[in-house]
This record gives sequence, structure tokens and C-alpha cells, in this order.
Amino acid sequence: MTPPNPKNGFFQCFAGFNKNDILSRFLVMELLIAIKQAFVLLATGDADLYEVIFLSLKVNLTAVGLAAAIGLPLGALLATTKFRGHSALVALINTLMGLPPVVVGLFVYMMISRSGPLGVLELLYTPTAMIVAQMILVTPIITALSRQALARMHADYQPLFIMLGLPPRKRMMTLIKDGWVDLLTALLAGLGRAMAEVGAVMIVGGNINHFTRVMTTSITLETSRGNLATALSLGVVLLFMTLMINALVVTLGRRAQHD
Amino acid sequence: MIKVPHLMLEGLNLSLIRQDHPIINGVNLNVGNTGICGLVGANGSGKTTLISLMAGLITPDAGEVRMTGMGGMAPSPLRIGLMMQKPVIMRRSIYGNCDYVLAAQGVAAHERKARIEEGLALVNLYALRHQDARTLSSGEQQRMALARVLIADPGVLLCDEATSNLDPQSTRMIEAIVKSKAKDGLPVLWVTHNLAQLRRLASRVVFMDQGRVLAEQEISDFFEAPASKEARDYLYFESV
Repeated sequence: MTPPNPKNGFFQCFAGFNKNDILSRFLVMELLIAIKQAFVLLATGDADLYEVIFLSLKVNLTAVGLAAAIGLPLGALLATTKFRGHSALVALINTLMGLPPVVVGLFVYMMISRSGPLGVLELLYTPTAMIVAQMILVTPIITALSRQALARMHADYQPLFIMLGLPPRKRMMTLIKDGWVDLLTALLAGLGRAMAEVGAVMIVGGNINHFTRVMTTSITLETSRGNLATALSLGVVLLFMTLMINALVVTLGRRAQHD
Repeated sequence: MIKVPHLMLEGLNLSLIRQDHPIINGVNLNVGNTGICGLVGANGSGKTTLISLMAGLITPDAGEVRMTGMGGMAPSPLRIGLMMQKPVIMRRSIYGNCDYVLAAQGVAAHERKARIEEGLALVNLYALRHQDARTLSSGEQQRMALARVLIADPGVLLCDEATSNLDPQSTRMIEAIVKSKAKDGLPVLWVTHNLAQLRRLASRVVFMDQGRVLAEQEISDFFEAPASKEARDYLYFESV
């Protein structure tokens, strides 16, 4: 077999480099190929890919929406009121920000498995179960970050609130309205966590093709199959999706600010 | 002729204790509409704490604050206007900052607009009314705070070093407005370290030291014959 001539074709680009340089260049090329493949997959409208993307968006956005419905008022409440056990609750929520996804997955699994207390609902291996697991993961993040941001604002606004004799509900509404930029950041942090999450959704969703398969579980599957290029392209698509959502939210936010 | 105050904010035997140490120690203070009342004292003497007690920001451990002469109206924090050294600036436009206060008081929308426009014109900020209040200079922010307080139609005005960080122009404008309101009958308590400003504005002076009121005199008497040794020490540079 004739050894490849470094002066010809593909190997031309490696000429004059040592082994480490060649490896680095090779990885960069792999990445470029993956990015190209990712855009080809998106552009050609691959049905399976779009199914996975839509399910990912549905699960993650629903989970973040539900987490926001709980986390934002709870964060505002913790920022504006003091009560017995307040500091302990804040410390607990801060701790829960670092919840290991697999532990959450296991907890939800035990709750909704056939022999669990919520087994009759038959939620195991459904998108609903994935939403529940994601929501549990994201709620402490949104609560803690929104509390932190609103507590700072509340310290600034408090003299005015007292002078006006405002009840806690009105204070909370004011802080949420005026602090929406900070709250948006908290929501995006929650969305980022949900988008990147794989352990919990794998356990409670089961990665069932055409039913509970999402971006992250697809990437895991393709990696285990040795399809690194495909896995990498899915990763690029995931990154691209996150970027698009961030851009959309920031644009909408700016427009709202100008209005 | 001595004016008889018909509107008055009274602090009766106010005390505040923190970590077994009296911050405010049995203080009696009344702010009536017989001219501007100056409140002076060294740093840490308890002026800001006293004004916070009078405004209702802090609850005293003993004593009470009451408002009299409001024609049968119940005392309400809404009737006390407070200007602080660092005003509360909401993340809204100048107009939004003012509108928030009136909306919280339940003032109808059409009346709010008229009052805000009048208030902002008074402090010369009408042209900037749609600007984000956080982007204003310190002087403009304090002028906005004054407009926000005045449009709420306060029964008494408490100013805690309201002009201490401001340029002469802003200071002059705020002094002129407050003086004019006091002349119209608004009781004003003015906390300051600026003795020249005290001479310009106040007709009566209350001197505090270590949480106690040690002197309460007419302005001329205060500078000529301070009623306590601590007040004399405080005015040392005036006599040098």
C-alpha cells in the first residue's frame, strides 16, 4: 500500500506540522464538518431532527414557564417579606440550585413509576414526566436568582414603599414590573439549565424514538453509537437553538423597554 | 407676631435602642408651619434616625409620632413628604416615578397628569419627563424627588441633607422651592451640616447630640448664644 503523499490533497494542509498540531487541526476540521452537517440537517428539513427539536422546545419552554409561574412570585415574596425561617428557606433554595439532575430524575421516577404514589397517572416515559422533572430542576434557579435581584431593588425602594403604605402584594408587583430585565436573566439561566439537561429526562422520559427523544438524549444516544459527527452536529443545533431563544428574548425585551 | 401652628408633626418622647445603646433618647420634637425648622448635630448624633422615626420608616421602641391639625383627617404616612440625601429612584421615567406615587394614592389619571406636569415644571424637568430617571444627574434626581414629594400634597416635609451632594444651581433651586412652600404654610424640617444654608433657611434650630435634643432656639439665638456646651463646640468654627 502506498503511503499518503503529504504534498497532495487532504494531507497538504498538515505539511510542516508536528503530531500535536495535526491533531488540533484535525479536531478543528471535525468541528467545521459538524457545523456544516448541522446546517445541512436544518436546511434540508430532516423530519426526525425537527421532531426532536420541537419536542425539546415544548418540554423545556413548558417547564421554564411553569417554573417561572412558581419561582417569580416566590422569589418576589422572599425578597419583600421576612418571616420565621426566612433565612433557612433562602439557604435551602440556594442549595437546591445545585440539584443533581439524576437525583431529580430518580425522585420523579419513584413518584410516577407503576408502584409509586402517582403511578395511577401513568406518566412514566411521557413528555409530561420530563416537564415535571425539568420544572423541579429549574424552579430553584429562577426563585433564587429572582429573589437576589429583587431583594437588591427592594432595599432601594423600601423607603418609598413604607412612605406610601403599600401592601406586600403591590410591592411585589412593582418589583416584578421594574425588575423585568433581571428577571429575564433569571429565566434565561433556567432555560439554559433545562436545555442542557440530560440525566433527569433520560430517566423519566426513557429516550423513546418519536415520543420522548429530545436533543440532549439524542446526542447521548449518537455518542454511544459512535456517531460522533452526528452527535456533534446535534450539539451545534442545540447551541444554535439556545442562541436563537436568547436573541429572541433580548430583542422582545428591548422592544418592550422602548414601548 | 408669633404664628400659631395649625398643622404639626410631633415626636413625643421618642426612644430607639439598638444593642443596649440608646440611639434616640427621649426626644420631643415638633415641626409646625411657623417657618423652617433646622435640625443640626455632629455625625452620628441621631439626626437621620430621628427623621426616619418621624417619617415612619422606623418604629420607635418608646414614644409616638402624631400629626395634628389635619382637619379631622387621620395621620397617614402618605401625608409626610420625605426627601433623603440619596433619593429613591425607580427604574422608570421621570414621569413614571411621579405617576407611581400618585397612582398609589389613588389619584385619578387625568388629575395625575395635571399635577405631574405642574410639579415637573416647578423643578424645571418637564422637558426631560420621558427620560429614564436613573440617567439623570444627582441634582436632577433630587429635583425630581422634590417634585414627586410635592405633587403628593404632603402635610409636612422632612428633608435629610437633601442638597448635600448638589451643585450650587440645584441647591439654590431646591432651597427656593422649599422656602416658598414653607412660606405658604407647609411645615418643614431641614437637616443639614451646612451652617450658611441653615442661616438662609431656618427660623428655628434644634441641636442634637448623642441621641438627645440639647438645644432648641430661634436661629439668631442659636448662633449668638448656643444653649449648650455641645452646641457651642459644634459652632466652634463660626466663632473663630
